[in-house]
Amino acid sequence: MKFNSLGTRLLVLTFTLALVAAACGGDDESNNEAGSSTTATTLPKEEVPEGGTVTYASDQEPTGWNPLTGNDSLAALTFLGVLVYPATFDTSPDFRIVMNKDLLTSAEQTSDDPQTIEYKINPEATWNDGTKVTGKDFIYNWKMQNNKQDTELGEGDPEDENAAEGTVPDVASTTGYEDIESVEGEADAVTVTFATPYADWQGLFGPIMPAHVLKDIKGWNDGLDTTKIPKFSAGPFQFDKYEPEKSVTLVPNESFWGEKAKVDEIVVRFGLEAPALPQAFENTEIDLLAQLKDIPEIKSQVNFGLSFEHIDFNLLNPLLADKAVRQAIAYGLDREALVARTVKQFDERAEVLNNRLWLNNQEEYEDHGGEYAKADTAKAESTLETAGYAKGGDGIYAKDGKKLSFRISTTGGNKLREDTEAVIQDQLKAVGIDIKIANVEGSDVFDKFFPESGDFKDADYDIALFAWVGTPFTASSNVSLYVPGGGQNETSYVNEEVGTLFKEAVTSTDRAEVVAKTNQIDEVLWEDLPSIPLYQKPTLLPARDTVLNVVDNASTYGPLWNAATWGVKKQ
Amino acid sequence: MFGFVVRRLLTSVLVLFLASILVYVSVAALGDPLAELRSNPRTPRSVIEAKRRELNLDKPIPVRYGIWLKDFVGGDMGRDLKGREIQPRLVRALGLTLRLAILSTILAVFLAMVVGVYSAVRQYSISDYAFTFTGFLFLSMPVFWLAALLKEFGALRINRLFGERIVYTVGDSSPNLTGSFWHRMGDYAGHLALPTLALALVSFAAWSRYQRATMLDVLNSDYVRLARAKGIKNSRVLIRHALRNALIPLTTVVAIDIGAVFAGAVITESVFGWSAMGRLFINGVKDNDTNTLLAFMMVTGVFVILFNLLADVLYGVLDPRIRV
Repeated sequence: MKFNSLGTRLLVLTFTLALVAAACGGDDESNNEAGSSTTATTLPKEEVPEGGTVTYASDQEPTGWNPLTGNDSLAALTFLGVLVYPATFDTSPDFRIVMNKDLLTSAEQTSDDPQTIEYKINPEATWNDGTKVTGKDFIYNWKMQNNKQDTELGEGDPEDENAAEGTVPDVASTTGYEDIESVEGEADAVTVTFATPYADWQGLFGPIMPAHVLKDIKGWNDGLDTTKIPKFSAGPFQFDKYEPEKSVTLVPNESFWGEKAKVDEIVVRFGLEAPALPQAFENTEIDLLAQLKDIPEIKSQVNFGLSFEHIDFNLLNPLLADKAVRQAIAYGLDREALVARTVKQFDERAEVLNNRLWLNNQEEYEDHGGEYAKADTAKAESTLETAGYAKGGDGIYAKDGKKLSFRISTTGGNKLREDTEAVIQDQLKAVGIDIKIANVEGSDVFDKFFPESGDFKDADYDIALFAWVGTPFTASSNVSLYVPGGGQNETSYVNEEVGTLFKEAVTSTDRAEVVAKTNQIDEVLWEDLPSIPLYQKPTLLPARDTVLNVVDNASTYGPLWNAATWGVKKQ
Repeated sequence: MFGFVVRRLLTSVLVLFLASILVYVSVAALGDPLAELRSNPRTPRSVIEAKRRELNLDKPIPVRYGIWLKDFVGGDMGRDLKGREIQPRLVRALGLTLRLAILSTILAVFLAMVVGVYSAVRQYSISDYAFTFTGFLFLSMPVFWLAALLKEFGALRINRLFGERIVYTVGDSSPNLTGSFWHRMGDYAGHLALPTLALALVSFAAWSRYQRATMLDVLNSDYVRLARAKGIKNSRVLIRHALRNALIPLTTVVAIDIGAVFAGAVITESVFGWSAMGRLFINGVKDNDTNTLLAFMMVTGVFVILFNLLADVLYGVLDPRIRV
């Protein structure tokens, strides 16, 4: 019996390793027995014991400590940063945007034209060196990210290609900040006035970096490199010890004015790869993992996050440019069967996604693609025949001597995606469309979809299969996917109506209107079919049940977001 | 001998120089290191351009190589793509690899000698067959599998037996390690035990086969027969006459193998979560990072060349016939 249990364990380990070896770059899933998921061990605040260490294995090491720079804006830092750097609004595990009551007492839009937001900072909000959080911090963060020259902070002209080294602020995104006309108020009342309305204003000023510490552009770009781990904090935790390539430790911020953390420390370990994790977990060397890959031996919380799998058509391919062909593909696909054969193995709750802008578990979700959920081969064939295609002797449709034969490409080595391709290939063969699998190992395939030249004419694919990672700020984050000139519109899709609707959605200050417009955009996308969504991806959070109140936040916040409420159960 | 060593060293410098050009050009031609930054549509063009200039990517490859070479000769290994200094990372990684490589080599050589000699002396006995079987078992067993077995039996079960964590399965030491000297030594040992054993068992398997074969050769040679005929004690024949000569080939094999060990045992390091040379190399390849890969290559190149040279020199020193 003992031998069997070890044998099984080793088999499972080999399987995990094989998957990991294959993953390299692309995000990855392995098969998992349904039912190995678990729910969080939760206790009310007053019953959570004090003390204890939680060790969390991060799959990456931060490359620096300013999460707003392009250099450091990795999930590895974002996940830790939510405990240290304050944000005006947080994203809850059900993707709602919630005002951070520790930082603000109110945040309201006081005018539509010009769009004006008034923030009232909580008078108790202080950095742990005793300096108050004030409007000066808002002004500094805006100026660093507004893509304009602010000479008093040492910035060069961002339009000047020869700007002196170190004078261009390294920022991950300027979206929203560049639309701001002014930020006023240096005390605890801040007024932000927009030059161009920006619907997703709640996504701005989060995280906030301290102006009195970073001061100017030098502090922003270089003040927080790996060697200078920040000790400042205005969150429930602060960074403590850092051992490069090994670990960073977070300890409770003693001067935090909100809910005080109960655990003594959170040790974040780096450089542990999937094959090492099951036994390290069993040996109690780690308690919690940020693992995109499933580890079958460890019980995981399964949630559905903000990313979804989809197929995209290269509309510069003359055959795929024909809407009838795309419709035939959509009718030919049985996405329900596809979900059952792939992602449902992780979790029974997995379902077909029929919206590209809102996901199944978001309340704004509307089903616009139900017509295409199941296969309708007859309709697929009649659509093609009406458009002048005829079946050849080999059972494949053709028109003017051109056969409906397409390559499908994805991150090679990703088992789940390879299975998806095989299912698509089978389903479309039944219709009379030939699909050839042309994968590129790992994430190198993205060079085929998004060519280095930046010109999608150089894209080298017919049908692409991958996932988009969303944010709760749907309008602003999707523009670049469906509007010409958008850096991620690799299908080369053009529809003026979509462009107009996006413009209205992004600049609307009325939430209901944003939701309506974005759903309207999705309806147009179902009409035009530049892409077909498949399913929302599950996220897995393997955690030890002695760590109390761990609840994954499958948005961009990650597993540590509520660490202030954690406790360690005494053995 | 001196002339030989100088000639070899000069050739090695040239080889390293040519290898650095080859590695630099091939890594630089692999792709755009800023691809990740470019793939984020929210990153402003000005940021990407600034980064391109900072990394000298706006200059042609030969110029970039020239800059790298000038810095390297001046003792500066540069920064990686994320702006982190490479030198301290390399020094840390090399330190860990040395710790692992030296201990496992000592262990493997000791085991290989004992088992090889014993098997040769007791050729075709049950114990010889048993050692042969064990040797081939370790030779053919994938390291990750061996590591999993070691963790199960050498860590989890032992820790369960003692009711506390004595042996660790990941990392080179516990995070934030403090405490008395003995406490720290215990922690290092608990982390070193399994990866050392895993590496040692794999090397031992090959070396013990080698030791057995050369020992058999020597035992069947005329001068050993002569020594026995002269009535010299068996233990003296074995150790003074046979083993000393049988060690010569093993010494050179070990010296050559050791050079390669400094490049890091990629799988062993990965399975045991050590951020040593193997990890540095893998990360360099993943990130398409010329500076990291060049630093790695130059250091491991030097080790490989030095130990190969040492193997040649040792062969000459240990076996006078070579010098004739």
